[in-house]
Amino acid sequence: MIGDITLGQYYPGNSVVHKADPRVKIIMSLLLMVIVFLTDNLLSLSLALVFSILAVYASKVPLSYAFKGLKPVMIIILFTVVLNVFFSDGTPWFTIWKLTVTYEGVMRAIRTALRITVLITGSSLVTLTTTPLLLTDGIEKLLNPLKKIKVPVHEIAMMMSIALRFIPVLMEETQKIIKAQTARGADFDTGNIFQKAKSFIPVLVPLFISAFRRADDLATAMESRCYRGGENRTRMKQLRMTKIDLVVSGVFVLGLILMMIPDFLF
Amino acid sequence: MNNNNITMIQAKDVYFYYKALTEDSENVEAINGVNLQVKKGEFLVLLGRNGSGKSTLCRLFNALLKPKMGTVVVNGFDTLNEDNTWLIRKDVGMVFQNPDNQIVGNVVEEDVAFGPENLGVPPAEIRKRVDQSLKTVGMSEYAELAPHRLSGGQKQKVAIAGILAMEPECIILDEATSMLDPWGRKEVLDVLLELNKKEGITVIHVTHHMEEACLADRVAVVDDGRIIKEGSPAEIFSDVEGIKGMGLDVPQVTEVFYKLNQKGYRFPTDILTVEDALKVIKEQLAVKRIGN
Repeated sequence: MIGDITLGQYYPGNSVVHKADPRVKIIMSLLLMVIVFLTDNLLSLSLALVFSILAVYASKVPLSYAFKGLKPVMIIILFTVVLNVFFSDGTPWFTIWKLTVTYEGVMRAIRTALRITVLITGSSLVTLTTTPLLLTDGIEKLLNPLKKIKVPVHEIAMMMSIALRFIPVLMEETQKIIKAQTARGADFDTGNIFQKAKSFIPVLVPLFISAFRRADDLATAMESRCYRGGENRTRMKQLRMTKIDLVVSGVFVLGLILMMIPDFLF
Repeated sequence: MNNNNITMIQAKDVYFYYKALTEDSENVEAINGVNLQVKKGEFLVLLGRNGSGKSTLCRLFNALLKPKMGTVVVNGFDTLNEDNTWLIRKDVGMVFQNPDNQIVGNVVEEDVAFGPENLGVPPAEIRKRVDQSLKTVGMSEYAELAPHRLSGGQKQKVAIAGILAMEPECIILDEATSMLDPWGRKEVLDVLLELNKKEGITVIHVTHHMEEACLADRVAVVDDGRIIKEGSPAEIFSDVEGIKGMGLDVPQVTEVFYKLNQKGYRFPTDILTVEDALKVIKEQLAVKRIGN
């Protein structure tokens, strides 16, 4: 069933990581990214990987599920590894055919692979343990200071949440249109990739028209329910920091310090 | 509950047209001089063909559109005055035709909270109102579900709850039952009747279903941007030919008795529901029995 697709790959659970405030999780994953990019120390990077695996373990999300996000970037990782191994300057280690493998190149390749792995695991852990709704709320709250420089923070968050709301509606509609066009003799299955792509135009055009119509309806409905932007608006559900957030951020900061120690020592 | 004679909405000589999109096309006239008074606590049904101006009229009633001539006064506030717009929309809630296109929230209770959030109601109070409104429409157990998992009738009930949470005095339903199956229609109408009778909320219901019109206190027939007939359901539907002449239908039961009368029977002309019919037939049978 289309309705059963989990949006934003949320993995339902009740762990400490799930319960933590979305703002805390977003900030932590951003900090992790910064550290991973700043450090050049192999030990630090390995610690970061161990740390993110431990975090996945604490969230009770199956490790294989958390690493799923790595699949699409596998090619990128392989590509950078190969490039780094064979095309880096430095002390030659050994030579295969005409390509010289340098010691520095190998180290650089390992570092890049580790970096990307930590990056993807860290950020997908946030989306895996936070519902899209909480995620948008968290982003809105975090971006709030930008309102001072006239960034339409509320509007961006509202657009995100409306987009999420309409994903299942538009999916269902797409299926309906595909069936309707198939009944009129449209062929979606034969031909090469270009012909297949072209055969989707009769699906996309009505889908777009209907999406615009829906947008118009929704705008009218929102206006008649007194929507007038973010000013003076209250929220029923308030994000609240709890003890869990304190513990989680404490553990995280400790982890960060641990990661940075080898960087300073060597 | 009946607050008779207190005016909820007063429309005076209202004219409205939609601006032409191009230079050489003409403006589309939608409303051509409507005078209508809606009383507080009333259940009013608007009937009319597609394109007769019903929807435009509804939108004039909650300041989504402003009259080009004449005035619409809602609860003492003139819709032409910009300052009144939000006061009016708070008092007059609107449920639209397509259940999917009016739900904003990703979760049922979030959507119900949308209206009071816009009004700046404090969080604890919103919580209270949301729970109460969902209870009133009988959707409490669905509070944490995603809207796309609900049926059409349930979605419309959520939409009604979303308006109730704003504590309105009047609800306008712009063909809100037209995309629902008979079961969903009944669900929505039951809620409306309860709100109208128990809470005294004014209801303006636009519909194509004559059976729904029979439930109203008053029916107004709209044609070509004018109100051409106004009265109780019985008064309106007793003129079977007049109604059919406007491209509308009368309730099935009414039509049956109309046809019987054409064949020479003498039944009353204000029979609208099966219950009415049963009563009349029983009376007639009793008369016959005595006659024998």
